[in-house]
Amino acid sequence: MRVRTRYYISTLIGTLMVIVAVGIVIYWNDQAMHVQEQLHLTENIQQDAQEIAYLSNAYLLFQFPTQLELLQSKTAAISDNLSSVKADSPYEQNLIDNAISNQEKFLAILAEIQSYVAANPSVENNLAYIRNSWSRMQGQSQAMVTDIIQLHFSVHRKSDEIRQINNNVMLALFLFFGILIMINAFFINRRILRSIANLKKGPEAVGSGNLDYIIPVTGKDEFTELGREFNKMTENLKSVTVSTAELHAANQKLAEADRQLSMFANAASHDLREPLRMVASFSQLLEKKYKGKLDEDADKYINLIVGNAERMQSLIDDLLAYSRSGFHVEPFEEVSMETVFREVCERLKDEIAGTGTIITHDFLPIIRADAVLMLRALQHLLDNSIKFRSKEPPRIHVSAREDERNLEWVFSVKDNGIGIEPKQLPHLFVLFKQLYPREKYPGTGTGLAIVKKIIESHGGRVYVESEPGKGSTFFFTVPFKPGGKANAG
Amino acid sequence: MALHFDAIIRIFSAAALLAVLGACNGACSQNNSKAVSIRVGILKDITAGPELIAAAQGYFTAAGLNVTFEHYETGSQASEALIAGKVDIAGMAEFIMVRNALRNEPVSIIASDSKYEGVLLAARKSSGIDNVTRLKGQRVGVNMATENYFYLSRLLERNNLSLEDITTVNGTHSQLIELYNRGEINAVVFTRLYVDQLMPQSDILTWAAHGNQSGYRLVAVRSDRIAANQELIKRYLGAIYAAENYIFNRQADAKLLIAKEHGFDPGYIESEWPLTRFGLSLDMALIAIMNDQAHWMNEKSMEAAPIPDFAMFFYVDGLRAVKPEAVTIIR
Repeated sequence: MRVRTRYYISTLIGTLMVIVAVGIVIYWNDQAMHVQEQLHLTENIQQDAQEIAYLSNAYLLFQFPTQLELLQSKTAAISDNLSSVKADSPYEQNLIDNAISNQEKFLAILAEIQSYVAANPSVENNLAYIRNSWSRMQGQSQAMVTDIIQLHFSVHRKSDEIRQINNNVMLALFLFFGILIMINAFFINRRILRSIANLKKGPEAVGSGNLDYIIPVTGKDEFTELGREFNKMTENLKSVTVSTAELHAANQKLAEADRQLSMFANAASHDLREPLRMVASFSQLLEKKYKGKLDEDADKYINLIVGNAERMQSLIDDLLAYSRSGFHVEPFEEVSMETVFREVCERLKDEIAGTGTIITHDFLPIIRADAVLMLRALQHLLDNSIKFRSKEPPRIHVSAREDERNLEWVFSVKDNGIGIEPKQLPHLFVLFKQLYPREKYPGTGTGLAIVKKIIESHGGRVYVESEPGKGSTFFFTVPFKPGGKANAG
Repeated sequence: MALHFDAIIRIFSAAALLAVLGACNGACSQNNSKAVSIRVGILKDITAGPELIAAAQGYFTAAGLNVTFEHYETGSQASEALIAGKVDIAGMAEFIMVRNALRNEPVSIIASDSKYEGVLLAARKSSGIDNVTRLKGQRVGVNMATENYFYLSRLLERNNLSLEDITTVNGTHSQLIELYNRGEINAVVFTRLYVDQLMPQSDILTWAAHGNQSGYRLVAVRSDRIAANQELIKRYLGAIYAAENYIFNRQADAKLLIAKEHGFDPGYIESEWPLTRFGLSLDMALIAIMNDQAHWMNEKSMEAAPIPDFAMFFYVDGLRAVKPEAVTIIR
């Protein structure tokens, strides 16, 4: 059964119960009011009967007509009230009958006394008659009082019983509703809580990586529908996750290949340096010893050998530098980029002076990084800006800003150099890729590749904005808390 | 959650068990005490109805009382038996109790359990007594030790006669019946039970002697035994109260039961029933009537003692414990 249906039924039953309860309360309230009326009546009769006892004494002694009228008025009132009293038991009926009988006898005695008084005006001198008449009237009036008191007591007891019943009914209704609500809450909540507990297991399982978990679905309520939808979702998620896993595996393979390649480059450059140094040394020695002693072709060839050996040595040095640029100190330390900047300027002071370069900078922050690598990266960027200058003297500006959104520092090196053609941008950071003739711009094409590798090893990015003929701005970022690819090579 | 539900059921069960044990304890405790044997003197008339029903319905037994009845023809005899210690409780009319009080007998009233207006003047029609005034000069039989004598006196007074206008013949009920049937008296005063034994029935006229004045049928005990038996009195009156409720709620059964227990003709019960009002009470009118009767006794020189405060002859605590609303005596 659906939860909503269950709530509707509960509400309906609850409403019916409330109607029944209100009916019961109204019924018992009516009973209580009826009994209150009866109590009022019996109180009046009791009071009138007491007054009759007093008035009968007075009449017997003084025989005033007004006393007789009052007596008759009171007995009439008693008759009226007695006829209004409703007996609820044979006991009460018996008391009412007795009271009526007492009253009739009282009136009979009174009539008898009236006759006697009429025939014997000096009745006040007949003490025996007065005493006997008084006791007879007292007998009836007091008996009536006693009967009415008992009737009043009986009604009062009934009133107490009704009050008690009222209290019990209220208590019973309270308990009944309490139990009903508890049972209702118990069964509905149990179902809901169980369903929620079942549903909760799904996200927990998926969260811990178990995409094979299926929420058990039985029944036809909203929770079952939710469970079924969740199962569909995990099924879809599973297929997406499989693709992600494959991608992750491919990335890992790629990283492994990159690491292997770096290791190979490191080993190769290191191992090649020594024989190459020998080749270079001996070819220089050959040039020195035989230059001008052989023919022109021999000099040309020796010169080529020396030149290429030197170039190859530069290539190997740079390759070694590149392969080592991924290794940084662990953990990172606090590095003042101001200090780094000054050191770079010191190292490049000849080039700066020789080219008339003007370098300006904003305040540079202290960051967490490898100081040596940062110095090398900044040096490559400044060296690049000086090298690829235009006809104008180079103007370079270094600045840094906080990127609060990405929680990183963004450094920039802006120059007024020759700029870069857009089509060449994708090849800019590729190792050994030289975009311009080597004769005009000597080098091995490793500088920007090394910068890229250093920055990425800090978990940052490097990119460029450039306009040919107007200059370039190189940006690199360093996270506030760099994680980097630790010693990825 | 299931644990909580079990706990709730256990609490309800324990409460129900306690309630049952409590109820059993309350219901059973009444019979725990050992039954006490008491002797009760009753009159062989309808006014003994509550006692007969209490015995027949087991109300006495339920109250832990083993009741033995002693039957008497008059309340005067029952009173004498009480004073002599032959019975523990006795039924009698207020007239007898007035005499006891004037004689300072150690008797106290613990309740009135009925009111009765069944005293009749019966006269032989053929003797010319066709109304009360015709009693003048007649021999009228009456048991002078009973309230019948008082009612005869009042009847005569209401008809402008007095006891001096007639010749009263004193005797027991049996003696008076015999005298009447022998023709030695033409009028006699007593209840329907004895009137029915007069012969011939076709020649009898009767008049109610009470004149709308009810006689009280009292339950009396020895004064000196009250203090030690207060609990017993409450139990006794409680049983009578139960019988009273039986009479009110099952009137037809009550009539049959009284007739059966006394060996009465149901017709007799039917004729006496309207003249009898059952119900435990102790009301102020009783003292007024007793005062009137005491003065009457002094006037007739039956008793010479000064009239006492009759309230001193009532023990009200027993009835007040059983039926408080029925006690209206001012003490």
